[in-house]
Amino acid sequence: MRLALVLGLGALALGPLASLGPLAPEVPAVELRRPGGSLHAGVLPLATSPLASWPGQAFELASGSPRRLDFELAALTGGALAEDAAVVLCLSSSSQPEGPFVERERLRARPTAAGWLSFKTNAAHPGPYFRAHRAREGDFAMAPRLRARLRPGTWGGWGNQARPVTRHVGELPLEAGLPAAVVVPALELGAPAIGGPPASLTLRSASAPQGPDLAQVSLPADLSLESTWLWFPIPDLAGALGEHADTTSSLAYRLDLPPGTVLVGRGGQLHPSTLVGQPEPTPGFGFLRGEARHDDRDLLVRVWSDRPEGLGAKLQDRGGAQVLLGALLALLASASVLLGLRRACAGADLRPPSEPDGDPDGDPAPGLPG
Amino acid sequence: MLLALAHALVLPAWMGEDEPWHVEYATLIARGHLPTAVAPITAPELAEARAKGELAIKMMHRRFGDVPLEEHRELQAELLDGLRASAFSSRVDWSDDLGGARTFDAVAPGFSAAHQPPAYYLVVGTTARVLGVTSATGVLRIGRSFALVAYLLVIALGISSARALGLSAPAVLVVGALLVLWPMHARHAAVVNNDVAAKLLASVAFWFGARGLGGLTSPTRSLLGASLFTLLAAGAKPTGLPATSAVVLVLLLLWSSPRRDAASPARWPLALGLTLVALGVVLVLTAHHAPVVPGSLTGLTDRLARAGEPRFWRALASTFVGSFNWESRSLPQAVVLTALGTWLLAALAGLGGLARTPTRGLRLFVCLPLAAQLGAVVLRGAAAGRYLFPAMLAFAILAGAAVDAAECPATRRRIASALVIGLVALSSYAFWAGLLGNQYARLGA
Repeated sequence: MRLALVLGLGALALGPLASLGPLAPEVPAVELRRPGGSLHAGVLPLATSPLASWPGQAFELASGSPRRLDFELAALTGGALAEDAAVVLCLSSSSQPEGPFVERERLRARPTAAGWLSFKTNAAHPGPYFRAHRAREGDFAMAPRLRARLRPGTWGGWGNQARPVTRHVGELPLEAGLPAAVVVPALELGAPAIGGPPASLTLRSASAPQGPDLAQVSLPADLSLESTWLWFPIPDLAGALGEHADTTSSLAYRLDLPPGTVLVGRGGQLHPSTLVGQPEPTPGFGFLRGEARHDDRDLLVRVWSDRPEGLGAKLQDRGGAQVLLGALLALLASASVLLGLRRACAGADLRPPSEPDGDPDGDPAPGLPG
Repeated sequence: MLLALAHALVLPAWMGEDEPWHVEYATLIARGHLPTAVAPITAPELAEARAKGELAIKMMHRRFGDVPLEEHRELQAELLDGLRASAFSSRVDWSDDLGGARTFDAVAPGFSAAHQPPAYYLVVGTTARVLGVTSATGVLRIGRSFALVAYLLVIALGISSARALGLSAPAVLVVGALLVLWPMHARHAAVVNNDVAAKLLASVAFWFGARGLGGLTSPTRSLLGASLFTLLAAGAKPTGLPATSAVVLVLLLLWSSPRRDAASPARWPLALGLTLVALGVVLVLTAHHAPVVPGSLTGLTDRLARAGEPRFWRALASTFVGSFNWESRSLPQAVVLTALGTWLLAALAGLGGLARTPTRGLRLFVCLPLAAQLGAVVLRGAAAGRYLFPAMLAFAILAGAAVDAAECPATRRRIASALVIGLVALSSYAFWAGLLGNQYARLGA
């Protein structure tokens, strides 16, 4: 019985030990993940363009320095991993959300398959604001995954037909609301001629297509993509539409694209998707294109700190006294079950009150058929 | 009680699976509306609602036809404010960012509790109305209080049933400990969901059967009670029907056999019992959109094919033993397999233990509800462990009976101690590393 109680107490302590002690599972300090079933799994491939366009992610660590960073990668169609393929990450940090950022370390990792790719740091760096830019050495067909902070509005999907396009006009339905971004599936984005206009999206009222532009958005001139969504962030349309904002049911759009651009559609049509809503302001976080930080999207990233907060501190921060009391009650509950075990096993009578005297395999209980 | 209170304190609001939809349904009743309408929806209306992101509103409007659409919109917006306040998106891995979302379609498009039978919501909603509670968070608290009471009642019913069936004291202790400590069952003490009502009512049906078999109540009362609660369980949720109807079926088999004697129930309760169960089946078959019954042969084969996949069983096992954050995270597979493997060993031994009791047909009485419930979940094609809870008493009694497989009292004590200690370890790990770890330590974005 004593052994049972010792084992029971050990079992009771298993949970707290597993959560608070050396057995505690590692929990990332930052986790930007991909919600399922949404548009946000759009693949943003490696840029083959100058450094200024390379993608990256800004993040903030509440305490400590990054010990490990994971970026989620997707495989690109038709590509193959080179033997010496490696991704180099430039890690910079600052004490202010908007910088200036100082490069601290270059981290290297070798991708072997689609999924999370881990980068380990070699030293602690001052923060709390960090930026991790991807760089490239070697040649491989991997790309970090991107997600929007907006909600899908009109979902056009990817498609199964590709064709070169330099200009396309169409209409965007607005049932789900005014778009905060328009995304267009593309296999390739051509490079604009020197001094020529970059890829752009122009929006006008559908009822007055010859009227003034409601918005015009251009992609960076040095952006070169292999297989991705062309992402056009839309400025405030409600202001541009004025009193017609509530009654407008569709917008006319025009895409002007550099030669060599290949868009994806289906049924002979292009089906752009819209994203609606307002991204929650999160200073210190956002997708990076060179120095520019975009508040409406993020790369998928997990960051582990070298000074992670313990569960106790997190419970206090996020749950307060109520959760600590709950944890205590759970311990007491298990302890009371153990006490019940002690009493039940210490009790001499192992039969229930209703069990009749005599051979248990013999006569059935009274009142039952034989 | 302590563990139920612990879960009530620790489980963040809206973290019970599907809570927003169930609370929406009950809140409408708390605000004085009745789910009387079954308004038709035309295909163009559906397409329009989908395009507007208001499919969930349209579906609930179909149930509560007297409620203006604007009121539905306001309620869903209120509920979504609650979800945002409790960091729903950070806790549920598959959730989109709900910033700015105004309807439930932003959480899961086309999902609604509108097709569920109204009994559970009438109880929760009417209680709230009587207490003057009309806010969604207030209804959430009342629904969770109902879950707490149901959890305690199910434990009491399990212990009472085990005693009635002639299990020894250590075996009864194991039954009670399993019902108290099984992680997902304990978590069910703080969840707003009509599965709670189905579980409670199915447990009452089982208890009636156990008391009848144990000779503590007359077969007539036992059969009528079990049949009545079978009907009620089906009225709470169709998933309450398989285990309970299996209970009634076993009672009918045992008591209408040629070996029946003077103690057997008269013919009329048998006929009434059968009628009630048949009514339950008809209720399920005719319920609107009841997903228990496949709509076509293709639907049936699709579900069976799905159930043949290993991932179906992995998901079912995880969500029955320990999953968190709307089933987006779970205990490690090794822990799940160890827990279920231990139960399986205990259950096999339990078959021997049940054979030692004086009650005839006991193994059939315990095993058939379990098998029926599992079979129905497979037919349902949804790998949710809570759908097995209507057979929870049978699940616990089968494991507890393992103790009685041994003749020697000292061996019985050892088996009981080992099982209870294992349950304490499982519960402790699931609560701290699973529930606290996933709900509070790991917040994504």
